Amino acid sequence: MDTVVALATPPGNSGVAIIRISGEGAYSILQKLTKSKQKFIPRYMYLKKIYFKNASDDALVVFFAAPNSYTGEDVVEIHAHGGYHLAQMIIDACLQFGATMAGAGEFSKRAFLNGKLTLDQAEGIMDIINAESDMQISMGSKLLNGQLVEIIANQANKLTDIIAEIEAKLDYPEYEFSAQETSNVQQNLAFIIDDLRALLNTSKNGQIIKNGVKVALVGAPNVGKSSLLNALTNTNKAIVTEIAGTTRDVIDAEYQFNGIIFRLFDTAGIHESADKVEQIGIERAKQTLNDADIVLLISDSDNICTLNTPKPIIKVFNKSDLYTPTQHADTTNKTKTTNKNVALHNTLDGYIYVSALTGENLDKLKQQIFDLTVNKQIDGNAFYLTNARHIQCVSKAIELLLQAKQTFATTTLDITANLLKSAWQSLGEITGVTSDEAIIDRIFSKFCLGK
Amino acid sequence: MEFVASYDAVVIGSGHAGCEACLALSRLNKKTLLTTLNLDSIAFLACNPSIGGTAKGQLAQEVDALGGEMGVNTDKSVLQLRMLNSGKGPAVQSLRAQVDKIVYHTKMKQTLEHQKNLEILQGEVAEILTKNGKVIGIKTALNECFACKVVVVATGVYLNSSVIIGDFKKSSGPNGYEPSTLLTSSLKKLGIPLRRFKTGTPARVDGKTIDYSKFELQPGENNYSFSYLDKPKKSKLPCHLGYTSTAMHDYIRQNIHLAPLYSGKIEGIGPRYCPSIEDKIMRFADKERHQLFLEPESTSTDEVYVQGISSSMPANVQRNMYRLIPGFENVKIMRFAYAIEYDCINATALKSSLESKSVNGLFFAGQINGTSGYEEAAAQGIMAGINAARYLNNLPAVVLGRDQAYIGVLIDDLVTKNITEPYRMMTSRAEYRLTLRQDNCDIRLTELGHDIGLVTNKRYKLYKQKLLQIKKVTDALSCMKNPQQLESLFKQKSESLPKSGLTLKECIKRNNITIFDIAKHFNLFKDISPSVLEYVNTEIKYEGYIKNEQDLINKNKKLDNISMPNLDYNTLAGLRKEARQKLNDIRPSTIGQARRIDGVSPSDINVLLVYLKLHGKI
Repeated sequence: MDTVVALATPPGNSGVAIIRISGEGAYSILQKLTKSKQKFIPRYMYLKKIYFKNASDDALVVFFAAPNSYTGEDVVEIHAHGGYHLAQMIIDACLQFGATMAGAGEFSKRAFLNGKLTLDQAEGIMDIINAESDMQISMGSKLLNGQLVEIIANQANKLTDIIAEIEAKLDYPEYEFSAQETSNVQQNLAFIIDDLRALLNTSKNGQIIKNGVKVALVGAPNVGKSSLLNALTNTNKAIVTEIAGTTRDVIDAEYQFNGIIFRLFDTAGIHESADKVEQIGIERAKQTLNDADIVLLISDSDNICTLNTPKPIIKVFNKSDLYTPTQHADTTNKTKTTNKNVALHNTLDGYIYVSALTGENLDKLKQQIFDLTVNKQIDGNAFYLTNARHIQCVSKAIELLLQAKQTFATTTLDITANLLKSAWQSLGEITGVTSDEAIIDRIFSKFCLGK
Repeated sequence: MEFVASYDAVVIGSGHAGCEACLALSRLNKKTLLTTLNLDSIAFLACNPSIGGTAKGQLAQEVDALGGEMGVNTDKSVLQLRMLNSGKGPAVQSLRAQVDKIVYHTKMKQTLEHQKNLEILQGEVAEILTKNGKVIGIKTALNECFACKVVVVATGVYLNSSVIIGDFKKSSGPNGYEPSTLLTSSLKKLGIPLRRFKTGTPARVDGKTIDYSKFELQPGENNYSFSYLDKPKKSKLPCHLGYTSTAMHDYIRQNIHLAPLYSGKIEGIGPRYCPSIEDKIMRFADKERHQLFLEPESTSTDEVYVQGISSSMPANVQRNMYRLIPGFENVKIMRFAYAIEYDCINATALKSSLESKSVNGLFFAGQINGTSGYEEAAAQGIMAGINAARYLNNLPAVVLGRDQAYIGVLIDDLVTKNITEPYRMMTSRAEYRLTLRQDNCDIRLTELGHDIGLVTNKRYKLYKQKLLQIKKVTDALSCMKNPQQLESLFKQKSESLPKSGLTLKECIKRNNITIFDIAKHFNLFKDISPSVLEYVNTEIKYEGYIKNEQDLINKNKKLDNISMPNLDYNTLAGLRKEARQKLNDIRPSTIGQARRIDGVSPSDINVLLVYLKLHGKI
């Protein structure tokens, strides 16, 4: 079997993140990550430098030789500093060295296949995982699962009707679709697609509950992005100096607001730089921007930033402490008592004025971020699609149904029937009624990734 | 015990399963005896005078590709050929033939009579003789014993059968033929589980009394033949399409208490897909009319088969209700419609080779296994014949996969699922429909048939020629054409002209362009047969979908390849009770088969996988 890698600890901020690699190639990946030719004795922990992209981090590494490991294969675990991005970069490096991303439940599946886990043990692990996630997102997972199955079964049921109608036309050649029947099928397909899309849209909130909101801090050098990050998260994570370009890597920290985790990513100031390391930081900043759910575009009186991105943006004017209040009723808007204040005020409409130094308006900013990302109140009783495999199944079903809707009008009926059956199977992978796909993969993909 | 004579094999029954089984055995050089209740009923078409149709056409052509007789015999007796579903896509296209039922019988009888290694005897088999769990011979009703090592039971609907027309119920086979009354108890003694099924057939009416002007003409086509060995056949006679009337529906409703199905006279379980007219009217009450087809039975009789109006109503009700069909005002019934009940076995008692799990050398094929239809019977017949011959040679059985043939789907369903009504093949039963097309039956199966030894040199040569032609066409289609060369064709077919050149293959991927358009426009493929072009066209146009299906096949194969050891499922505590019972009953040969059993859940499969893993069987 190929060598797989995944995060074995929950995604998000934690003291330690454990990256697990399993398979024949695990040992050689460990050597490549540590740029080391030394022999790693099984079950001994080593403090090593892990090299990835253009950076490195200290980590504890441990090697388990097959069959004495969780999966029964060669396993390497890297205990790195906690942090979403750091872990992701180490995983990326493993992928570059030939590992593939572990599927959902892959480690448990391998453990089972290698005789390391019996069914009972495997189910026990699943229960523990579920209990943990229950507490995290305070939703009864059984209720959730029941609800999801019900929602999906309902759609699958409607789809079964359409499939049956088409199959009847295929097996009984004397019957053809009438114009009325054709438009009924098209309409019913459209209904199912709409409903599934609505379900898929809840995955945004579902993901937010699970992984938090990603907030990118973007702006010209030295407008105080790092100070703001520290102030918002009440930490001292980012190094703050007056020298522009101090922040060369993406640093993250998080805070909770209304029960949701907001993960801030400070970025290197985006500007032309001759410094090679800083250039790389700038590249990474652009990548962070792509991954973000929302962007805080930070300016000060000396640097007015503009940014063209489809992501939601909050324009933040930092260093409000350098300004004095005007007569404006809206206390968030302040203007500097300098000569250029009038001109600035006119062009800076829509900015929120904050001070990382005094903490002014930070709560207001947090509220705005919340409003723009958590698009409706997260309701503990409502259903949100959170499981990556479920999201994938629903997305796949939608994609197949869209294709089917098209081929129904343009191609032969047998193809439409095939696509609809595949979509039905995709939904059946969630409800557990599909018998046409590999059971073993399905059962074990119920496990959370990495356990 | 004294044996009159000794054979390698005895085949009981000369219907569509029996004919294929005895031909396969004798063609594989086994000395074979075919016994039949009546020599005049060899290859008798007891219901419609037609072969093929959706999914059934594929079955018949698969039998042909393996070297069977059904396709050839159909071509000898064809009255009309039509390609069904031609607008609904290559996966579901099927050939259907109307045949002359008298010619079909006589031609098949001649073929059997001329077959080397085959003897035919009229008589009823009373007992299957066994010793130490192995077949050693048969005994007839006339108390004669014949020695043999294998028996293929292909008794169709003749076992303990009763014909029912209204209040009238009589022990009888189809069409007044004698039933077989002695064999059931012998099968019971051998531990074969039996059950009772029901089917039916419509009336035959006098064609001279039909007003055809009130029916729609359904002419045949001239471009097809059923067997790959034959040239295209001309259609000789048309069929006709008509409808029932509300007056007829009202009349049946008024008399429904006389229907045996509703009065409790019939106990057997009938097929849902082929309901009697009284069943249709009661179950689909909102439907104002039902279709019916008039099919000629033979050029040498005026009898006409009324497809769609099977019934077991009393004779006078039948006569009155048929006359309420527009065009049937003066119709004269020549043979009444009837229902027939018969004994059949639960085929889960069989291995995938169609051999009994409890008696070595005892094979079953055809309607006795709970199927319905000539093609389903023939498909099982040829496989039972092949595997009986291999049993005699100590060779492993040939089991076709669900991805390989409809025959594979059919037999896997029969031996795995607890069939609760007569089983008819439908395209929707096949999960790999795009792979199991009729245009590739020979490509799927002829090489295998050749390895088995049933494919004649003539057929094999034709097949090899076809492969060469396919290669020639495929090579020619990689030729690149520039936009100027394509312009007039693309314009004519309202396709947008590409900026750079396209290969001919890429052109065929366009919605409105077929290989035939390419052939015409570039003056290509003059020496290539249309069936080859059709095949290549399908393979190109549906390439992506076919590939997806192939991926799915490969994925599922992993589980199909895990074989199950012989174990007592009661000892596996993790299994649910129902699963334990079902698994003990059916004894699946692979994990793949186990998971297709109704009542075996994914978690039961998981328990099995854990067991196999822990015991080093995977």
